[in-house]
This record gives sequence, structure tokens and C-alpha cells, in this order.
Amino acid sequence: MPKERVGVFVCHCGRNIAGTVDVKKVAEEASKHPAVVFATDYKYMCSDPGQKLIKDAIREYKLTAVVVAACTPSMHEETFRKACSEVGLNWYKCEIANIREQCSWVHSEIDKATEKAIRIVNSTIEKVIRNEPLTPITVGIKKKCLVIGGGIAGIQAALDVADAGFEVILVEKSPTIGGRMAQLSETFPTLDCAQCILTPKMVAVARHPRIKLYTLSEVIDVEGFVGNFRVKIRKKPRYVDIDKCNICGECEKVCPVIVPNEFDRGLSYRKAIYIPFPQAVPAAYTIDPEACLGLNPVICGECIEVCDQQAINYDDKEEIIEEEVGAIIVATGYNLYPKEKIPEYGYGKYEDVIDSLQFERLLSSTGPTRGTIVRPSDGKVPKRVAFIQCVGSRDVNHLEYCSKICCMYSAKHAMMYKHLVPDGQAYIFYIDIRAAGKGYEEFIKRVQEEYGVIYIRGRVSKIYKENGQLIVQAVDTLTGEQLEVPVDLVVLAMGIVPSPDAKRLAEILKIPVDKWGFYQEVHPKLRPVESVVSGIFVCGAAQGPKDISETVAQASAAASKAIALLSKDMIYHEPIIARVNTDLCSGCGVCESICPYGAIKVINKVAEVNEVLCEGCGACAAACPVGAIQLRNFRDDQIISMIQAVLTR
Amino acid sequence: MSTNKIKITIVPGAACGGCDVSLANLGERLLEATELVDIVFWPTVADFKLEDLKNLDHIDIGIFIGSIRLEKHAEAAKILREKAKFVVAYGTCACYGGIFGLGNLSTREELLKKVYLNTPTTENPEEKIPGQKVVINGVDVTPPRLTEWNLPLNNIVTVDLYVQGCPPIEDSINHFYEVLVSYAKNRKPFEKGMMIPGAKTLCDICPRKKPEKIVIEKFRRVHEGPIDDELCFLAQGIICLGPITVAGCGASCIKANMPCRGCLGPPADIIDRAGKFISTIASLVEIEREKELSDEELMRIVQEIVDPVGTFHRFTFSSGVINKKQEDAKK
Repeated sequence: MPKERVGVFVCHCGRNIAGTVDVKKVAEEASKHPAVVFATDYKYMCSDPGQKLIKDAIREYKLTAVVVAACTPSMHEETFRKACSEVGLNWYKCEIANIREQCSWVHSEIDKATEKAIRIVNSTIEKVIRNEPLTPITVGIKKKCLVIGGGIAGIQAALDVADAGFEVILVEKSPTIGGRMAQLSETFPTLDCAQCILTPKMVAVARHPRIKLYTLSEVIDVEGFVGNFRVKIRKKPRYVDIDKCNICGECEKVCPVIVPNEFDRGLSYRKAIYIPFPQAVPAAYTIDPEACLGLNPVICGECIEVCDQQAINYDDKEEIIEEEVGAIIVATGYNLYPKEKIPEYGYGKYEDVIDSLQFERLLSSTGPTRGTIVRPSDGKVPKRVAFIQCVGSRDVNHLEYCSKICCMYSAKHAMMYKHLVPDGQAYIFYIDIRAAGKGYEEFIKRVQEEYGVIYIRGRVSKIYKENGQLIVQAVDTLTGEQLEVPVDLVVLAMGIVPSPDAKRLAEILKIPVDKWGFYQEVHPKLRPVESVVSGIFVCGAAQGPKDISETVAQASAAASKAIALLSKDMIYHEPIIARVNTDLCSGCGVCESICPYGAIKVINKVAEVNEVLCEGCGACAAACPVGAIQLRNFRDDQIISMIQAVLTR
Repeated sequence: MSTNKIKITIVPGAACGGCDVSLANLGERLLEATELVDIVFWPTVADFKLEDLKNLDHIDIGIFIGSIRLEKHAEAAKILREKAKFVVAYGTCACYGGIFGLGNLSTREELLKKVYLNTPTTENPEEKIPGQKVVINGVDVTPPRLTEWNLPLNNIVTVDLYVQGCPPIEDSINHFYEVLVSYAKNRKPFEKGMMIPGAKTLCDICPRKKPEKIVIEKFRRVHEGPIDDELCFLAQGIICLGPITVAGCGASCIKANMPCRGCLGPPADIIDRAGKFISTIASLVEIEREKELSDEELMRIVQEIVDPVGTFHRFTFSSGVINKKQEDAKK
């Protein structure tokens, strides 16, 4: 090891550190280390004069390595490394000794805290003198973005990226884009018609020269790394040529097959050849191969016969499409918690217990009832309607989290119901009202005061039928009263869960999901749309329950991150990655098995690391039985020296 | 001629005798060797006493077989080091403490009590245990005392060459023989700290197929159901020490459809074999579902491992970072 000349800079952080740690003593003790040629302390190292102090010392004392004893490296590592590199020191020859979060903030006895800080600094000195100077790895970028999911999040992200001048591949698994938002009636708190604000964006997607839309498609494989992903998309057959179909609707009239319409959540019926809703994009019919009598003109060819455009093709085949993209935005949306899991509310048993999306369809002017509120069992107008919030949400037996949007849409449901049935009575059963958002609280107040909706604070224990009458059994926790409320219709505000494909997709993309299956962001506050895999961004309800305005904001955030990435000519990859000592490696394959990024392959009995895929997590280094894999600048010899420094003084 | 011969001693520690026998694998070459080598001390073959070792004026190559378990072994090792130009740890016991190392799971006193007093078939009314002075007919025949712990040779003296194996197999013996002959002919000293075979690990020569991902969902032992004789043992949930055992055996157990128990010991520079391999094994447990499973569920899988010390440290416990019963930890 060449003789290192280390400078140690101890930050007071105002009183944050200096209040508990004798910073002068830390600097003094550090200067006793044989490799240290300069040590000092300063009030705020991260300030301009603080940084200048470091830079001047590097020049004056010809420092080869720097230790800044300050706050957590996630706060200012970059600041100090940048300062060092400005005067010619290698980025990786500057290390942070965290004496704030890991010392001063968690201790109160000055003597002991000072002793600990000294040891932390010594340990960091041992590391930095063994650090190799490294240079970032550079790679080119494919200037194209893949957006997975064609709901409002995916639409917004796709439009933003395409408007910025980049090619976009938008993949949607259903026959149309639009997602959940297309199913909604009005949106809170402004009561804009959801379709009216959504369909222009859908059309914009369809017409955008830089957006390539694949519907009835799913991503089946992703390989590669940031800037250079290779994506495989399975495009299922539609059996209708979208360029030829002019949505005249003749095929639908003659189709003899009737199945429940999923777009109306089973409240209406559709044919085997259908269009989910008139404004669907692409504007074309689809044949549901499972419902169709056999895609065989010998059995039934009614639709083919009436189609003037000759748009229908029973021989349409599945295609596998390969694309290369630089960034991926995941926006796979949400689903409702399965109602079957809460049998005490009688869904499936009583026709007049429906979920909130079904009620949206009842409210919608394009819905199965053209916007009249009738109940499914007998088509009568319900005069008493119970809206039950937190069904599955905030419940230790189901979903522990808050689904966030139910308070607001239940209020909206009650308000819209009162618009349509002015003499009806709406009850809302709630636990707490969470109306944090611009104009949200005011909206709730209006529903309560102007519309006379009765809010009952308490969980519903049971919904049952007595003499043909639905009864909601609950307790009013404000009065302590047991309630049995007879109603005509019950609307369950089901909790929000990730869409069923999210988990499979997470595995393909190698991005983590949280306990509930929502995509995990890197940092909830500071990096809310980035996944741990660089180049893959998440947004919308797939990341966690959220309403439309938040979804759109997050989609734009994800898009801007993708744009920032695609705008670069080259990307720099952190060089703190795994390195294989081929003399030791026997190719046992453990590293390959556990690498979460698919960055290691055993070739000819020796592991090879793909430098760009490797994110430097160190899992392989920990797992390698013979120590053949070392993480650069976190090598075993460094860590052992660090431990020795901490333990001996 | 005899003045040019090099002097060799073969000193036994705690050993089963297998290592001595393994030297017989040299066959006729043992006779050839006598042209170059004088074996001046080998108690297994002829009657020698420690005094004889003390009386030797010098030794060129001192081979030590077995671990240090008696105070006498330690004494012999120290004499050997003093007299020999080169000291060789021959066999896994000398290199790592060997299977006797598992005795370090009990204290010396516990071991002696168990063996000499507490086994059901023992009758020892005078409670005589080794270590006590014994005089018969006026002659002091006090048996040797056990050392406090079982130790590998390099805990007592510096070792210049290691020959791994329990016992070392033919290839290693041939290699060692060449080293001896070359020294005898040219007096060329060999690289200190050299290891024979000192190869990569068994995976390097393992004929078994590896799946794309080795995932352990459940630990199995060899008697539990059929074993696929072509698939990597780890991928079948069977603990095989191949990934951390040097390939000096030609994968003979593995070829017989038995997982490696690790008798040759780890490659050079492994600080703690069991610690390292436990980290490896833990990394492979339920890789795919790790995030879904609770700590308790993961713990339950890991707890299926029967006798972890005996599994991961069967031959090397004495040379581990934690290498003996930790009284304090127990309290």
C-alpha cells in the first residue's frame, strides 16, 4: 500500500454533533493515526467555507484521502465527494464517518459519545486508506421508453415522455386503454365527468406519432439494464383488424353469445364480439375467444358475414414482440379487495350488496342504467342506501393500510345519489373521515350539511336480510348505540389492492414489492417514483392507493425522471460493484442464484459480473463460500480492518 | 551417500492412524525414497519415545500427523519446530484440528467425566481419570494429560506446509512426495505456507448439473427420500460442503451420490469456514419467497438443519473463529 496522506474533517453540525461529542478531541485523536497528516474541526463542514477548508487542505497537505466526520452519507456524501473531486481527489477517496445519526443523536453522555466518535472516525480512516480510486462505468442509452399499463397513470406518463420527444411503447393488457378511470362517473371534488376529462387524453395517445400502443398485450420478459432493456411483449390476438374496423356495431347485433360485461362489473351483458365502451382506444371491436362459439365460420360466422370492412379474422395469431428501451415506467394500477373475503357483508348472497365500482357504473350516464339509480334485484329505485367505508381497509384481519380514496368517493357517491334520488336517504358508515386534499374537507362538509347525508361513525358488523329487507347492523361509536338500519341498497367501499399481475411483473422486472404487493419506491419521501432497479420507475395506484390527481402528478414525476434519463447520451454507473477473483471461484453458482439483478452468470465454471447490471448490493459477496467475490471498496480486508479499528484503542 | 540424505521425522499427535497408513500409498516409492531420505523417527512404525526426538541433533522435514489433544503432543510439536527446518501439517487433523475438534463443544473436564465416570457401562469406583498421578509398583505410569482444548498444529507452532485430507489421497501424497524429493535432491526450500492440493473447491470438478437458480425450500438429509444423482445437492436441499472444500479427492463421495462432508478442509485464506458457509446456505433459503415469509417462517426452515456445528464444522471446528465451548455465552 503506498503511503496515504489522510485529512480528517470533523463537523460540529451546529450543536447537533458538538453538543454531545467533543469535536476538538475527535480531531486531535484522529491526528494521531499514522496515516493522518491533517485533522481539524469546523462548525458546518457542508457550508461553502467548510468545503473550502477541505479543498484548501487537500492542496496544501497533498492529501490522498479524506474523511469527513459528519452526518449520514446519504445526506452529504455527494457534497463532500464533489468538493474533493473539484481539486483532483478521486471521488471514492472521500468517505463519511457518520458521527451524527450513529453517535451524537443517539447518545447523551459526552465522554462516551466522544469515545465512540473517535472509534467511528478511526474505522473510516482504515477504510478510506484501503479504498481504490475508481471511475464510473459509462454506457449508451436506447432513447425509448416502455410504459406498462394504460390507465390514467400510464396514459399521462406516455404522453409526457412522448411530448418530450422520445418514442414510447405503451402496453395494456385489456382491449382498450383508460383503465379504472374510464369506469368512473364523476370525480371528486369538482364533479368533472371522468370520461370527459379522460377520453381526450386517450385520443391523444392514439394519435401521437411517437406512441406505439399494444393492447391485449403483456410484458413477458425483461433483460438488460438501465438505458438498455430488452423487452418481450406477448400480443394476444384481437381477431379484429383495428385499422379496418369502423365500429359500425353490426357484428355486435348479430353475435348470438351473451356474457356478463366486465366493464360494467357484471351489471350488464355484452356479446362475444364487443367494444368495452364507445370511446375505447383503439376504437375497434374485439372478439373474446373464450366466449366466442369457436372462432370457426362452420360453427358461427355471423359477425364475419355482416362486416362490410372485412375487419374480422378468425385466424389472428398471438405475436411475440421484442423492443429495446432505455427506461420503463410501471403503472399497472389497482384492483378491489375480493368481496368474497368478507362474507359477513353478504356480497354474492344478496344482489343488492354491490361494490363501489359497480355503483360508479350505476351513476355513469354511459353505464348499464344510463345513469338512473336502480337496484339490481328488482330494478326499483332504492330509497335508503348505505355506503360502508373501510371494507377490508384498516383492518388487521384484512388490509392493515388505509385505501385513501374511499372517504372521498363515498361522499361523492352519496352526493350523486341525492342528485338523482332527491327524496332518498344516504347513510355513510365510517371509522374516520380522511379528507386531506385541496377542497376535500369542504366537499365532505357540503355532503353532510347541504345534502343531509347521515354519517354514522362505527364499523358495520353484519349485513343480513329479514323479511326481504336488507339490514345493516352497526354500532354508533359516538353515542354507543346499537343500530339496525333497514336499507334498499348497500355499497361497499372495498379496499384497494395491487392488480393481480403486479407480482408477476415485479418478478420479471426484478423490482421489489412491499408487504401488500405494491411496488416499492426507493425512498418514500426523496425518491418516490424510482424503483431500486435504476431505469425502472413506478407510479399510480400500483405504488400505493391514491386518487386521480395524485396519480397524474406521480405519473408526470415518473415521466420526468424517465425523460431526464433518456436525455443523456451516456449514463454513468456506480463502480462500487462486485468483482470476481477467478483464481478462487469454482463456479458453485450460489451468486448467480441469489443476485437480485441477474448480474452474475457462471460461464465455464467461473462467475462473471455484468458491470452495468450490478447494483453493488453485496449479496453475492456475503454468499460466496470462498470469498472469491468482493465488493469494490467494501472488501473483506477493509471491513476486518474497520472492525479491528472499532474494537481496539 | 548417507550424509546427503535428508532427515525426516513423522510425529503423531491425536490421530486415528489413517494418515500413517496413507503414506503407504507411496508403495515401492517408499523404498526409492530411502535413497534420499532417512526416516529417523516414526513411532507408528517402530518403537520411538519422545526422548528419541529430543536427542536428534537436527531434522530437515518434520511431519506432524494429528491434532494437539495431549500436553505431550504440544511438547512434541514444539521440539519438532525447534529441530526441523520445515514443519509439515499432514492431514486434516494437523491442518484444522480434524474431527476431534468437535470435542471442543465440551470442556476437558466434561469430556473426562463423561468418558471415565458417567457412561452407563463404566465402573470406576475410585474415580480415576487421566491426569491424576498413577504409580504402580513404584513406577510412575501417570497417563498423559489432555490439553484444555483440541488444537490444530499451527496454534502451537508455525507450519510451513499443509497437506490436506482425511487422510490425504494419492494425488496429494504424490505431490507431497515430489516436494520432498525435490528438496532432498536440490535442497531447494519450498514456498512457506504452501498447501497441497490447494486447489479450487469441489464445484470446479463436480460433474453434477446445476439449475439456473439454486433455491433451498426445505433441508433434507440423505436418508430422507431418493436423491437425484445428477443434480447439485444444494438444489435438492441437501447440505453439501463441496462449495467450501478443496477439490483434492476427485469428488469421490459426490460420484457415489453422497454429499461432501468437507474432510479436506477449505481453500486457503478462509477465515471461518462454517461462518462463511452458513452465510452461503442462508442466502439460498427461499430466495424467491424470502420477502413474503416472516422471520419465524424462515427460521423454521433453517432450524431443520440437524447438528449445524457437526455439519458445517465437522473437520474444522478447532480452527474456526468460535472454536470452543463458550462458557460465558452459555450463561
